[in-house]
Amino acid sequence: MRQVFYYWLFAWIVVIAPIAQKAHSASLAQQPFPELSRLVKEGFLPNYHVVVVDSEGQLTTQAESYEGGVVSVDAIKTTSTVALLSLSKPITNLLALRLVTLGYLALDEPVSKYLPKFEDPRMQSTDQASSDALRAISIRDLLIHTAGFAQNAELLGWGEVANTYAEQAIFGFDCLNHDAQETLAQITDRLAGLPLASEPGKKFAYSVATDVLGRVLEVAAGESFDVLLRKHISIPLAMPGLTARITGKRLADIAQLYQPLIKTYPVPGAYQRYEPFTGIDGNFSGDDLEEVCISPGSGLFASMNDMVVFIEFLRNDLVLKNGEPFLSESLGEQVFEHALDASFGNRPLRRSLAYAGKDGISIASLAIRPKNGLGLALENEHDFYYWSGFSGSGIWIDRSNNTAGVLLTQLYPSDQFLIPKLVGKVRASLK
Amino acid sequence: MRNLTLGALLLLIQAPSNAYEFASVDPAKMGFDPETLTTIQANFDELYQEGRIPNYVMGVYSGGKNIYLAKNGNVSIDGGQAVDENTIFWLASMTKPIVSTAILRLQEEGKLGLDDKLSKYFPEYADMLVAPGGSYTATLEPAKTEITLRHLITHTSGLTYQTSVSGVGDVAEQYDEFGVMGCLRPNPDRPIASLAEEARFLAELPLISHPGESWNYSVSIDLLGAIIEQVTRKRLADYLDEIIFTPLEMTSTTFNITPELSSRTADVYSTASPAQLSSLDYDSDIPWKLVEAGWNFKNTTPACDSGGGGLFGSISDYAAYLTMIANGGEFNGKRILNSVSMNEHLRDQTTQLGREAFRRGFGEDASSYMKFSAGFGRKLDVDPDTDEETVDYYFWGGAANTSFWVDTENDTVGVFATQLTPSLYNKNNEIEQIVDEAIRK
Repeated sequence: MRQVFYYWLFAWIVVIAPIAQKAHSASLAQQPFPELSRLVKEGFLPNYHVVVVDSEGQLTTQAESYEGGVVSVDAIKTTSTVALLSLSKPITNLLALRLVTLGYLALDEPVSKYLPKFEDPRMQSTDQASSDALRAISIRDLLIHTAGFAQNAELLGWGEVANTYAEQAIFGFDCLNHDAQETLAQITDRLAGLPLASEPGKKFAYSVATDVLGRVLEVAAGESFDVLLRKHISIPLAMPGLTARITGKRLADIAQLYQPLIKTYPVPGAYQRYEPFTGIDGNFSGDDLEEVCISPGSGLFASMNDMVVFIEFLRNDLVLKNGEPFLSESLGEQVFEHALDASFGNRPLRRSLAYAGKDGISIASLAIRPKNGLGLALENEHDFYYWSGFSGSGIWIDRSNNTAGVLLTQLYPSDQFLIPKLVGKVRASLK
Repeated sequence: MRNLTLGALLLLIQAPSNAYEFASVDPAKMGFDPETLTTIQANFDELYQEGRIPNYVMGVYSGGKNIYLAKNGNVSIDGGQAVDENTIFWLASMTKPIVSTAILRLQEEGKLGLDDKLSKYFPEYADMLVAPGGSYTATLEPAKTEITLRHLITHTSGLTYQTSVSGVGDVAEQYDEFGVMGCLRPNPDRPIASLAEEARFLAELPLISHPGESWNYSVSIDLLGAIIEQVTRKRLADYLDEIIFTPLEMTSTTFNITPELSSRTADVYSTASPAQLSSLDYDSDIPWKLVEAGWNFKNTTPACDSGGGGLFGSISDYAAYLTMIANGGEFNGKRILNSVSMNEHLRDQTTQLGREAFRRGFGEDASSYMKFSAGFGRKLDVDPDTDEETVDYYFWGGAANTSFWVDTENDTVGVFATQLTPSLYNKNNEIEQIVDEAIRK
């Protein structure tokens, strides 16, 4: 308990308070994102909280939740514990890059060096390709989703392998709820026994690779993922609320997740098109969580305060508060570079992440929006960097005006992809 | 010559024959500001360009004339005919007001009465049980009173709907399981023999509230369809043809999409889930977020005529029906209802329940403005000081995102159609206000 208090104190003194208190010369209009307000008022979005920062501190914050509805909606406060879902991925990837910088592992090593059960990966089908030896899955593959894994169908994966993951509880809702009485090591071992959805190195396929990465880090560094996350991210970056495990103490602060309510209403006006999401019920099982599943790829939790720190860190080129670079120079550059070579085509993410159809991806799990909209293989200039979770939450870094932002919402799955609109609005306001 | 003949034939196929054609007029001549009306289109173009609706047609009518028409897209997102006022859309729940009109016509002719008991037509409904709130965890109660036709036409019968509409509790889940009143898409394990048989089957399931005590959107209007068939000894489609569609020249309105109508009938879509989005690969400049709803109405004959949601039709046809309503029961020299029936059709039939009755089904916004007549929602303007209610317009909508309003005060009618189910975008309020503003200018 005392330790948690000190994390908070440290975070407040060193990071949050200065951001909050800085006087600001640039200006954004009051409530600059009317499209977010409209989505809440019309009942498409239960709530949101958005914060935009620049080099002088916090530019604006805007938060709303539907009030007085049939479905009670929790406000997302700055300290609320929010399920990051896929926003977990950039954090876990940066943890991996830090450990690479510290020499615990290397990007082009085979995963099997740390997890021998992945030594002989095989495909789902029994066609010719499956009988050939597949190339080894590398650590880099895990960072950029080219390992050949699928995403669990419960978490919006699709295809036969995704369905198998759902049936066999491979990093699905059970894991995110801490209901599965299996460790990260045990689930990763079971995953090694299942076929791949695609050949390693051949295709970008959004997947549970980041979860496997979490297990690789445990073996490479010899410590649990929780400890590594705390030691290398939470403490040095001052993100005290960042965690892979929800204990009883945090339950009260968890922001409710909602899911779309699929119903027909023949009447005009606003109505709440969502209901409480039951897949991740927040019914976590207390303090003794050492033996339950965690998901480094989809199961991290953090607060808005934490995520503001995180985007500040990204915006500042990953320099720690003490001035020390977080990553080696080479890795630091790659955080903002497209990581897939020309063999993946001009629109490599298209078939896996529809909203990111024209975008590239870096080893930090940051999507790269090309400037002229034609895709990245044309050596396009970068427009902005972002990542977005299936709950509608997202982060972005816009180097054109040195801003960064966090949007937290809690609708899963959300069909609203709001980050580009918010980036555009900030740019227009700052002109 | 051969090409000319083929062209003429195509024209013949595409244009509905003998349909009532609204003359398009300069809105300024009818007292509407054209510039204000042109702002309507942006409301739908944004949704269309974002790939959230597959197409749309929006028509505004006044004095029997078309004063505004906006449209975009094709019958399919893969192509096909461009949509227009004659494109056929699944009207779904916009069937209900028409069937309600037919019931009032039969009452006018003395063939039935709104205060008749349902058991007069289907004795199986004489002793209904109630599962309060639709829940099977509580003890079932005998219904305090019998269901009347007035309960049915006002959705106060205690019946409910499938969960995907706004059905309530375990009872609604049983509706799902059995595919109750699934005339368009029957449950393959429980074929529907006839509307009458389906009405009798429904009596086996409990009500979710005592008749008259609460408002629950429901299959009640399907039961009214079954009563119409029993009273008239005609299929519902034939009776509606006789008393409404033929007199009003609604030649594109039907329960059955025949092969001849297929090419001008719009496909039905659903919003793609994020996972489905990843697998979409449309060859289009529009970033479609839609998948086919899997409802192939074009090659199937309905098992029965669903009075609650079985009609297909064009916005032009529907505007003819609504203009009749706006005109007090008569249009183009054809009287459908007399003034007494029209009063019954439009007056508040839910005075005993109040606006709060609509909160559970349609949310708090609806509970601030809504009441119900015999077949129409009543959009109210409520004086915040006195709570006095005045009718702004009458309205309803359909499960595939069709909607309409009728403003009897300023004689305007608006009809909107796209084909997205479940319906997500009902812009009646916004558009009706734009039209009101166009009059004021």
